[in-house]
Amino acid sequence: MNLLAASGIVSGYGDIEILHGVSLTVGAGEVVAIIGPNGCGKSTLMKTIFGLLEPTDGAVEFQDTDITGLPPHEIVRQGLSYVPQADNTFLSLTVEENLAMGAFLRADGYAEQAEMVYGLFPALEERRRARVASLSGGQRQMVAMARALMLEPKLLLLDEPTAGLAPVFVETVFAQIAHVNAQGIAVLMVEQNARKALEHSQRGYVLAGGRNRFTDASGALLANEEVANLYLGGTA
Amino acid sequence: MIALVVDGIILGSILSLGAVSLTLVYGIVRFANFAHGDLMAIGAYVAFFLVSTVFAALGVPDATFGPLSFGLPMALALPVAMAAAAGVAVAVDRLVFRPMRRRRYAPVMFVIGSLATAFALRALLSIIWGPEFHFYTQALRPALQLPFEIRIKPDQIFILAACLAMVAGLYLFLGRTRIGKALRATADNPDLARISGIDTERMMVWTWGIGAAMAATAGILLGIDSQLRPDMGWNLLLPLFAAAILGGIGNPYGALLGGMIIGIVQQVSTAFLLPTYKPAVAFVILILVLLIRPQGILGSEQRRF
Repeated sequence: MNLLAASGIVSGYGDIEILHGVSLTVGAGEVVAIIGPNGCGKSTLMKTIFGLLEPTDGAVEFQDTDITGLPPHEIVRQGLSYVPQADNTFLSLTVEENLAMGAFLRADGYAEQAEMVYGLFPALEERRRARVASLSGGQRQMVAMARALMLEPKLLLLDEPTAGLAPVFVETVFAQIAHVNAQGIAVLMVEQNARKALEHSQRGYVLAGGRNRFTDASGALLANEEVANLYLGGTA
Repeated sequence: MIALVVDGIILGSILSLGAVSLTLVYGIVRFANFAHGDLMAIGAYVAFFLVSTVFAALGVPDATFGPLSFGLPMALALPVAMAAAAGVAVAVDRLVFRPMRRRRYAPVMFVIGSLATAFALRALLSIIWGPEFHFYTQALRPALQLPFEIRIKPDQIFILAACLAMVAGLYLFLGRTRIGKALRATADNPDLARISGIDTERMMVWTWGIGAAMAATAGILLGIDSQLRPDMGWNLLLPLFAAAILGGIGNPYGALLGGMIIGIVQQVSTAFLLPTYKPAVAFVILILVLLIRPQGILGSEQRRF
């Protein structure tokens, strides 16, 4: 059964159309990567799925419920969480307050889920009273993911989770994504780091020019010569 | 000189209360609200209406509290005036600013909208209560003699205490409560707040409500300290902005400090300059801050203006 199904998404900013009819699905528990050149609409797709942009055509369904055009604070209720590429933490708040904000919609408070999330990111527990502005880039990325996990989502959307991180942290982030996925949470990620993203996912979508270009199992995409030449910077 | 410093501290505490609420609103709605001073005046006049007309008609005993110049009627009027100003601010947001947000107007249009609101509110006060001065009470209270030849009226001690208590209350609210943290989160990163499930439109209502209620309190305290005029709030706008920017706009701690500095400097300046130049003093401080440290005393390097 599909957890998320986006079909024929047409979207963009104002009069500028970026996506000209993109479709994708994510199954329960899957890790799916979206790759493609700069400006192909990867981030636009994420924002449209999450209600930050309203599509001019097409539909987004989550667990067979139409969520097209709902505001983000309604979508997050459905079990879908989003980590934007930039500005993905509350810098002036402490780590713990960031988690509390992630759990804003929980009626039962945030303490219990915070313990679970600190289990996934032990480095954060030591810094729980620290303002996020004082943390390193790698730690901030952990805070961003931790915040998104506070509502126990079924699907996590990650926009460029390794962007701007030192190479040593890149592996850590992918390991953390695998760790999150092991909890039964499906992951849909957009990545500039295409090869790594395919190595750490089950299926992949290649977008180009605002349209679907290739859709296949990640291993098959890695082995596909055309994909390798065009998007992975060399032969497989 | 000491007397001027004391007066400055009292004026400064009122300015602080106004500037803290101004900066709170700015942090969330992201534009300079030119109607903030007039929300202060609305609060002051609603309290005046209740104290001078309604409560007298209802037979509320008007005995004053000890050495203070006001009593039970003012204590009852304060929460009503706070609620009234909050209601006005929320209604203005619904009628003026929310439609502008929906249509994604440029930030400068919001400022112009707030300027129009300021004119409208001030005109409303003039139409209802006339352009003349009003006083909460005609009673004169003797000043207390403190050591070091400090003379201070009991009302002024109350004003200082009330302002500090109110600002402290806001800090506790912002730091400890779920809604307070959500307000800070919305000020910090509105997109991420929405993504986290915070209904930022609801946060706007909280912000306008709290900001206007605090402004109304500042207006009433100003009325207790001096007198009521329709342009009482408008005249304070410049010192309020000077205080908020001096402290680092968007930073409530800075606004508290900025308000005190502006208040004291303005009052002390009257020893050397005509009192008519008081607003100019605030203006000069504002220009100096913008030239020397545009992010304000406690502001961070990242500017939002």
